[in-house]
Amino acid sequence: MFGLTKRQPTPTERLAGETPERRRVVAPAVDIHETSAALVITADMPGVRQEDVQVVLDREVLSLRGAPPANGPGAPTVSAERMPCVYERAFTIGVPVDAAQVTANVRNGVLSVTLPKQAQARPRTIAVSGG
Amino acid sequence: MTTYAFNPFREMERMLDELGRLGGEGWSAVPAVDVHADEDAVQVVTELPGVAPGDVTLNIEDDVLTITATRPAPTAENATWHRRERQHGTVTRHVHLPYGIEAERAKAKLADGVLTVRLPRAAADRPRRIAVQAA
Repeated sequence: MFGLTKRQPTPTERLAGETPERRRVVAPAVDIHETSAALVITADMPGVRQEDVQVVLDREVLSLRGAPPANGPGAPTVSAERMPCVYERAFTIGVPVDAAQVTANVRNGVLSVTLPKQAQARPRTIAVSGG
Repeated sequence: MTTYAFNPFREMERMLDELGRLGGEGWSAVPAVDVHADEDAVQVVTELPGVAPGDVTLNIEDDVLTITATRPAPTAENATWHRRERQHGTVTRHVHLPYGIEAERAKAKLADGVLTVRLPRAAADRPRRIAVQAA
């Protein structure tokens, strides 16, 4: 479903190291909580800005993607642990959500997506009437 | 091209982290750090997503930079938690600097969850050119 449509590098590109997506894909750590009104997904994506994020809701599948900008040439590297990466993760949303009302924002390298539930999925208290 | 120091333990840590996300209190994995240096300054870059600038402490002692960051536990009222993988608590990382620096002129900024610390080299520690004289 995901990745099948992604262009695969040719063997020459692979040898030359010039593939379009040479960065490794990392699944970001997430918190997910649900209130009576909405489902909230929070994902750690250090280095990612608002414009680097893609949030897609396709039927019940929500996919998150964040590609931080590549580091420009700087001073010589003494040691490097932060490998260039792309954050990707997808979730199946179990409750009916209002797709038009989904909001997402990025703050301090943390992506947060709020999916308001459809009215039918919200809990209801049923009043008990006397007979 | 940059070569990345391959650390099998970090890789295993990352795999464990992704597989189990066995968090508990404190951070299970220390944040990744990059160190860049030229003749004039060292630049230390580390990932601290969701950490407020006020929750980062930087300490310099001799040629060791200590980064301490705290991230509060997420809170939500009347909520059911489905996943809690993001680490919280306090994490400390020591970074060995390649040469002596001037701590007073150090600068740090935290943007998009990435902390960048620039530490100018100490004047006494700068490389010196030695003139070669004819005998």
